[in-house]
Amino acid sequence: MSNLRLKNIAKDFYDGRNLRRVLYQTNLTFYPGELVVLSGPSGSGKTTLLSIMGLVLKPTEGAVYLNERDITNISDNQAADLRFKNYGFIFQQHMLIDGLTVLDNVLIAFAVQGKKIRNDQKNRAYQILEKLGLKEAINMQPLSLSGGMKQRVSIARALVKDPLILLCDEPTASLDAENGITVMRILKRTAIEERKIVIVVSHDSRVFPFADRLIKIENGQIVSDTREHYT
Amino acid sequence: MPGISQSASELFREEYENLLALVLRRISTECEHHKIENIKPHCPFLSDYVREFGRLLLIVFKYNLKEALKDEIRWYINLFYSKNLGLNGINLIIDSWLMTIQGWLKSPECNELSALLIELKDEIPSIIEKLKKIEVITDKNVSELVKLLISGESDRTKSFIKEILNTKTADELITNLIIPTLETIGLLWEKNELEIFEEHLATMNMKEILQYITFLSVPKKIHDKNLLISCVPNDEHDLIATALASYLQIKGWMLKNLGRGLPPEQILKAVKRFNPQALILVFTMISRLEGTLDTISLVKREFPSLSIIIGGRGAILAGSVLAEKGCIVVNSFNECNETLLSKLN
Repeated sequence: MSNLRLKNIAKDFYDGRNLRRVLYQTNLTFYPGELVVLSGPSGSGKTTLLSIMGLVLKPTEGAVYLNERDITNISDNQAADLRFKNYGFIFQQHMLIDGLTVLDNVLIAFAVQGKKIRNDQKNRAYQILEKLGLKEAINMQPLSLSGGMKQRVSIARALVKDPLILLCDEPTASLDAENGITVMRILKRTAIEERKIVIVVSHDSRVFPFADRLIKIENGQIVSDTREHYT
Repeated sequence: MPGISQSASELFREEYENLLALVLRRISTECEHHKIENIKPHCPFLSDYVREFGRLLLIVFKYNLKEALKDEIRWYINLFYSKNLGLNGINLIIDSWLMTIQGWLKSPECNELSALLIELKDEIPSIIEKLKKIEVITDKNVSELVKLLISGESDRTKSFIKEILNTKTADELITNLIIPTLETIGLLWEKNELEIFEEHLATMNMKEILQYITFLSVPKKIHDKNLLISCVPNDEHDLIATALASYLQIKGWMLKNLGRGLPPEQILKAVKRFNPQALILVFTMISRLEGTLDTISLVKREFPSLSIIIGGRGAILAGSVLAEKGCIVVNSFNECNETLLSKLN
């Protein structure tokens, strides 16, 4: 089964004077089909953990495995390639490019490769936008979209490459209640129906009801890991 | 299981409405994606079970009634197994509370509260094993009476009872036949071996039979004392109160039975009106403890010397809390009668 595994991961940062441990030894495995919420106060280490999972940071200790392959010490180019193929990212800010249409903003996920966009890629973008209720907005520009719609476009952009892992950093933080719930519904559906590993970093209480698994981190340590158990 | 500190219990109570809203949202999300087989038809009712379980947690956390939680979970196990949701249904409820407590409440309180639920989850498989071993019907007469009650044939049921009264006294009949029959009907219902209409029919018939037994067997009054019986507030299980009323009347007591749970103020008004020498409360569901304690405080404030006797599953589980409030907790109808004899005569 596909998975993302962190084995004895730890991370130190040098703060100018001292070497400081910001993430203590952590062991976690994530499986497709579950929405994992990673929660904790500011400075608890959750973004560090997310960055290690997303191959943006390398751990000081331990190893990262993707589908049981050790990817801890791969080169930056290899990491970029793995990220492109296996990861989708969603942030608090939608990071859409004004001046491009909704469709182009989604297709930019392919365009960054510098290759011509294929028809099947275009079709997939159409399908995803339709699924996320954005069919009518395909040719609109980000400026004319609501906050909730913008975030849905950013989800479409993350999904268009059909990644195994979706890493979401505070995806509901800038949204009102209704749009926040809509976004979480989409992420939950994506985890279950499309068998993705969806990891949401958040301290927004609205996300908790959507969690299949809730991991709490405090002072660089996992203090609880609660997951549902269905047969 | 570990104990619960006052700060954790208070935090849970303060945040209860927020926690409940999040748990309900989680349940509706799970229903929307129906990851659990067979869950869909039960989705409209799951929120009721979530609320009931939440009320149970409020009581368990506040009064540190860990054993009561283990006991009460049997009801959920029976319920979810009878609805073909099995362990998944139970886990859905417990996990939803667990994740919400972890997500919403601060540490260390959230960890304290969660620890109790985690340990409960660990014990569930062994509780299920024990439940599986429970035989539903063991006695021939109980089995026959159950059949008659759910058939709704009141005349045949009365003949059967009358026949038994030739060999047993009426109070023996209540303790040795009526009570085990009520327990059996409860078990059959929990195991989904009874339709809801059959359970209703059995309840209605049982009330009629109890009246019949009382009519046939009540002696001239022996004790010159008044009793008042009531279920505790919000407790709807009035059949036990009815059976107890019959039993005590057969034993020669004069009494009035208020039946299903009235609000504390109404029970107090009845005490004022009838001026009983003892108030007997029937307390089945532990989640009704707060209302029970409110009633006791209210009555004790105005009638400090009035004996309050309390029985039922909930009373036994919360025995120490109730005893602290000056109540006498009894384990059986017979013990109730013995207590009345020693206290009032």
